[in-house]
Amino acid sequence: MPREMLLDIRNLHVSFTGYRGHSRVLNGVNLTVGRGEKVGLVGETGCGKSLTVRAVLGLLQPPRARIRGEIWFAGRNLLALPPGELQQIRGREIAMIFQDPMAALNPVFTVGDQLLDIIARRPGGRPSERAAWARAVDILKEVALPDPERIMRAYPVQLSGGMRQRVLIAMALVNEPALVIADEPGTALDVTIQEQILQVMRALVDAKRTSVLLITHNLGVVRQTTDRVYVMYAGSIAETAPTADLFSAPQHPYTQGLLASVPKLTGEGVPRGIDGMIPDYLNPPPGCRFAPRCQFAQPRCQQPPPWVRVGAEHDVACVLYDDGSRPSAERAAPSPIPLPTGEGTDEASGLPSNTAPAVTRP
Amino acid sequence: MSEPLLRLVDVVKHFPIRTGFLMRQVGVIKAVDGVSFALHPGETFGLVGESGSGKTTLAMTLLGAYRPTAGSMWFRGYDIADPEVRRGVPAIKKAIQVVFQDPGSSLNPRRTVRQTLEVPLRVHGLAHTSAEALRRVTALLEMVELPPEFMHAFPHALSGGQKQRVAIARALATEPSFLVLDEPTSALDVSVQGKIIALLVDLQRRLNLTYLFITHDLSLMRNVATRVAVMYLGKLAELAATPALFSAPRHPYTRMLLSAIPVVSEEEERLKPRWIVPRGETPSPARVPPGCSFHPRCPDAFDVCPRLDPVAAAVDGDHRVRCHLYPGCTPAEGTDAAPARH
Repeated sequence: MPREMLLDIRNLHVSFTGYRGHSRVLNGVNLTVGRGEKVGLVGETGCGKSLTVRAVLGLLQPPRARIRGEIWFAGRNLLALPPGELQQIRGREIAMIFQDPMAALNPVFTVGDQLLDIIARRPGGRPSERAAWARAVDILKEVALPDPERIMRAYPVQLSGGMRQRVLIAMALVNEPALVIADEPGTALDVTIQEQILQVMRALVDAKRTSVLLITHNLGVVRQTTDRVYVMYAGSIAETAPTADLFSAPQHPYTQGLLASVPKLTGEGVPRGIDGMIPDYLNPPPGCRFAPRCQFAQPRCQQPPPWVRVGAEHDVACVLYDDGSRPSAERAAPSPIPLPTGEGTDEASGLPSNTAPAVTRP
Repeated sequence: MSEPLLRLVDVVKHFPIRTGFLMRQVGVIKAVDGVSFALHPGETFGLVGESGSGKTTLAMTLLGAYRPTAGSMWFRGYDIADPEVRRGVPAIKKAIQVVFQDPGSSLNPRRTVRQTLEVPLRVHGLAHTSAEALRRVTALLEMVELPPEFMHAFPHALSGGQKQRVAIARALATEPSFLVLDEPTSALDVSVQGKIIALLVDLQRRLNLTYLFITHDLSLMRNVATRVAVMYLGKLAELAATPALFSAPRHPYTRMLLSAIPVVSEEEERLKPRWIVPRGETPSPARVPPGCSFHPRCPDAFDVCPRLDPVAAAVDGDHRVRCHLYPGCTPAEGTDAAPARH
């Protein structure tokens, strides 16, 4: 790829050992973020998107978490760095915007205290108190907060949800990091406020050519915000494509099912979603982890799926595309998943494995 | 049109703000501030609004958790705004049930599914023997498409979708005619949401249920509701049949909401109203702006808006809107449009 890569995650495996055995969660994640690129990582609850982020930030502690693979950031493998050096990168070169602003801000310090604390850790030395204050006021202005001097002296509880989220964005961007990781920004907020937050974030990162990795389950937000998208399912990447292509011509059966599950403004009724459940990580299916829920599943799906290029920067992990042919128009149709009929969905009948009576249903 | 199942007339719920040693009242939160609408049997009435709009307070008032400050709520000839009426007529409690947003916290973690489902049966005297209770529990699980073995499971062993099915079964235990669904799928993944909605639609048809469906997800609302009411700071801004509300929204707030929906296709993008840059946030219901409460955020506000509170008027058949842009919504100058209620 011609683009200069800032973040390059290669074949990342993460597993945990617990009472019930060995959970193999991340199963070979490959993901790149170019300089100045806005990349989305979408997937449902439990697919491993937050775990991927935690691995990048070095928040997973061996030996509880077993990590394999490489995470390259600006020419350094983060997994091989000593903790002290990683600490120099976190918060300066890689910043994080968390989902819940109330939990991410310290309630007993003012916004100013918390911002100045971060500015004091700027690469290139601690600025004077006056310069730091001026810088903090500037960044609050940039995230369109009214009356920044007052907000500097306010405690988080005195701000509304939207204002707190803006403060978090300001805290993430104040030291001009190369990469911002945003985990569900604004999803705790109402649509009209979420939209304003995303606009502020887009404007700022575009102006500073900051790279963004946006983690979300909201497909609409990804479509509006990113240049390129990764779709994650059960610990691996199912598909990646430029955002417009992914939404107009999704290829992986999971991506197609996920997009078809979203209720549409066209008002054709609520789609029935995808049958089945995310697999148990203690005992994941061999090969393609989506196969048990996939209507196109075939014997070859017992093997790990091939990574097939189907278009410009459009790759998909599915055997349906490894015959070398370009996907047919029929395959590329946005919602080819026939809606199941009849009673008793898998979702309803799959009793979890830790419940006493074993249940089998035809 | 059929006789309404439920009719709300000027329902008001104010919470006093008290402070200090003597608990003096220093203000009032106008959570619900004069809401009127009627629900018809078998329909799904959608209620949308942002945080702080009062939609959940309204639902809780309907369920009898709060006593309304003023107004009446007519249900089968009874005014259920009066707690004495609720206490005197047990059939009302059985007829109105609720499904909450997060099944993780609305189910008791120390009770098995069977114990959870037996509570309403016992409270309302619907099962006199344990054999009868068991039969009812099995039937309820079947209704929500769960196998009978699930009755022995604890909530922690169930997935989010399965837990929500149990919560729905619990609501159905008393054979209600009216369900309040407060964000029933917001805590679930989109691939699971569809199945829960399909179940609710199927149950509604089979059991002739009427739903009050509360959600902030407008795309979902477009697909489940027959009529939609948009709530802002305790009042209805607009009420219309779902297709009309989405294709021809009248209130500037409705248009702002619709234009901010994140959608997943170009086709949907074209269905959204002209892009309105959303601005500001919903003010606190303790400090409602004077006149039309939306005017500080409204792109179309003019001189009347900060001075007079508009009244609701029909713009097209039963499409009701409460905005000075439309004829009939502006009360005559000098009259106090919003008489103080306490």
